[in-house]
Amino acid sequence: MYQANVPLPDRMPDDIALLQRIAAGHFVFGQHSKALRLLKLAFWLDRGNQRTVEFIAFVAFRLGDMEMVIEASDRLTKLGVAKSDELRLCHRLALLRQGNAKSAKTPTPVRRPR
Amino acid sequence: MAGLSKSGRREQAGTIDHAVTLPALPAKIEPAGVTRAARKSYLAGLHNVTRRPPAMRLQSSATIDFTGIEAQILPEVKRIAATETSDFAFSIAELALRLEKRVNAGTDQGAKDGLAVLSEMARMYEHLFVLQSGETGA
Repeated sequence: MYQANVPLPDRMPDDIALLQRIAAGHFVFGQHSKALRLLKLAFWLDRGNQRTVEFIAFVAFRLGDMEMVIEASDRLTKLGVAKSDELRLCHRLALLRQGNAKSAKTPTPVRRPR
Repeated sequence: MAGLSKSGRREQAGTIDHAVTLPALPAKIEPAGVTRAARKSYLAGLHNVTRRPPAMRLQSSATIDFTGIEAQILPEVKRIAATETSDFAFSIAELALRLEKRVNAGTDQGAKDGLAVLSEMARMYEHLFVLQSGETGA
């Protein structure tokens, strides 16, 4: 096929659906990071696929990757998709946790008496 | 008898009233002007607004109901279960081979990681089929 330089048929929607399905299988059996990697591949294939982005946000939340949850949520906003209640909650909790992590890292300033 | 107090004298006389009358207690002790509902909503607001320390993080699984998303995931898994294993393995191997060239030409690390997982799955299925064929051939 490569030698003959035959153009391959465009099967991108099927490919993305298959990747999402495999990722779902991994997710159900607790292999969240593998599921996330597969979803990233699906995202690379089509950056405008709503379902992939939603799934990424969900899996990243379960994995504890809050930055990715926020990124995916912003991406959905850019796509102009109405977010589900779960994803909105995920986004809010991700922001909250990020705030917690930042406040845990930065030491509280010591007040000096004037 | 001269050393007895006034009350003692009263007892002796049998005129004491043991029933002490206190002012009636309110049913719920609330600060003046704050209704119970207002206090409850104020506390709920605090609960949401306060930044918790990491040790007291909200439990995500306890607070978010994911049934909506899970309802989308489970049919996908059922479809995998309904597919013939050899077909599924073939589609994975084919996808990995088709994407390999494009992914390696790019610089996206996420895509490369995903392809690595796919190739690994394809190899695993290959290995399983080799084992299976070995068993049947013996």
